[in-house]
Amino acid sequence: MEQLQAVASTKKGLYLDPRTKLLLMAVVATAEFLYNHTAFMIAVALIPFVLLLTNRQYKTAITFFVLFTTGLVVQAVQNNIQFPMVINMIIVLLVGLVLRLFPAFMMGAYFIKSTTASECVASLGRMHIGRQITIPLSVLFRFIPTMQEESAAIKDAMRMREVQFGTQKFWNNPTALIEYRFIPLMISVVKIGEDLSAAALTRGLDNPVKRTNITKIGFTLWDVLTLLMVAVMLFLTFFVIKW
Amino acid sequence: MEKSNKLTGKDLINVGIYTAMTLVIFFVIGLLTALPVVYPFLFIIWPVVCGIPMMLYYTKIKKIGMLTITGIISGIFFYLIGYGWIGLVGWILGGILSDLVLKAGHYQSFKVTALSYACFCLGIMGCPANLWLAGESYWENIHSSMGDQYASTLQSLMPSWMLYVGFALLFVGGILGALLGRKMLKKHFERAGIV
Repeated sequence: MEQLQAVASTKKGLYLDPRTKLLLMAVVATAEFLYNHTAFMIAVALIPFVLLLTNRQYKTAITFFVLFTTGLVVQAVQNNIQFPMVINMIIVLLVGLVLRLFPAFMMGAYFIKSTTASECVASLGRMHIGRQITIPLSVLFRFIPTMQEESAAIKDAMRMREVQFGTQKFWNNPTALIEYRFIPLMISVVKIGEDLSAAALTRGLDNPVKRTNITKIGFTLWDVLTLLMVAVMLFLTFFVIKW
Repeated sequence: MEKSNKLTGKDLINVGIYTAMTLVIFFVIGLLTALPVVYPFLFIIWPVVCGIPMMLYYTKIKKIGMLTITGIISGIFFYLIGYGWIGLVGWILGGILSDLVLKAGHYQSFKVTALSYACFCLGIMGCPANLWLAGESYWENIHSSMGDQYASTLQSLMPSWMLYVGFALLFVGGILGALLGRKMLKKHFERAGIV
């Protein structure tokens, strides 16, 4: 019997359940506090790197790889060289940012790119998280890219009036940057949001009946394999190989 | 969460929009001023600038629970980018506290709004509070990951009384942010017909 499909469910290659991704994100975020030697740091960074590669975000993955390796090298030499105070501060901060926070950022980049909104909502629903959280969260994920686009457009427009960081006009009146950049952004985002909520309400968002979802999610062999590999890798580097 | 049963879909979408806006602005400012020397000033800058979107948000809030959800989502976000459970708890507590203040004031006067926003800002303290509350292991971590010079500078900038000063600064910043936000609302948003 022929089945009509509303959702393209033919995912090729490594495909993870959103819940696995969330778990991995939490693992990476927690591991940031446990850093004590280089091997463990590399192991943590490998998780988002490999996942980005499997999702074909090659550019992000390579940028991450280059930055992270640079960070490791700089960290290895930084205690031997004494820089002047301010430069040292900046270097240390950038290195700390790259080594400590970038794995979590990259997990975020991977999660947002590889998960559709309905998959996310479906998996949160399976975890019995109420709509008080799922609706704001899905709106949030939908809005961050929109804000980037709008912000870029406003930046272009404002360049004509030299409202940008570092110009003479900026130093005369720094708060103008806030006023001329944030406020148009906020106005356009609010307008888009009003349209969005009108659209969502016509589609029955306020319907008290439990919502259904045709997106197929579920744990597969890939999830088990990935989690096993991550667990073994982290365990080995945390307890066994210490350098 | 049982109090927020009355929230409609429109309210929840509003929560999402304004949380996204506030988080992005908060995050951008945090990155722009990432040197430890400016850490104390951040306690003022953050609440003041975030006052603009939050005041717009406050014009939409007529029910209890919305600020709590904002607090929970922001807390999860800051947990994931590495502030630990103290960041999570701080944001959630700030959200609940501001919700209660707003509820007690019946969503009417600007004074209540300003006070509520100042309470919300107290939750920001969850992020830097790691420095004092997470104890020695956190400092050892900074020493090993960021280098000794950075850690000692940070330690000299952040003595233990800074915790209380931080709360005070955030509170004052919250009030100032509310005033700035109201000024912006009057100047731009009412003219554009949004409020």
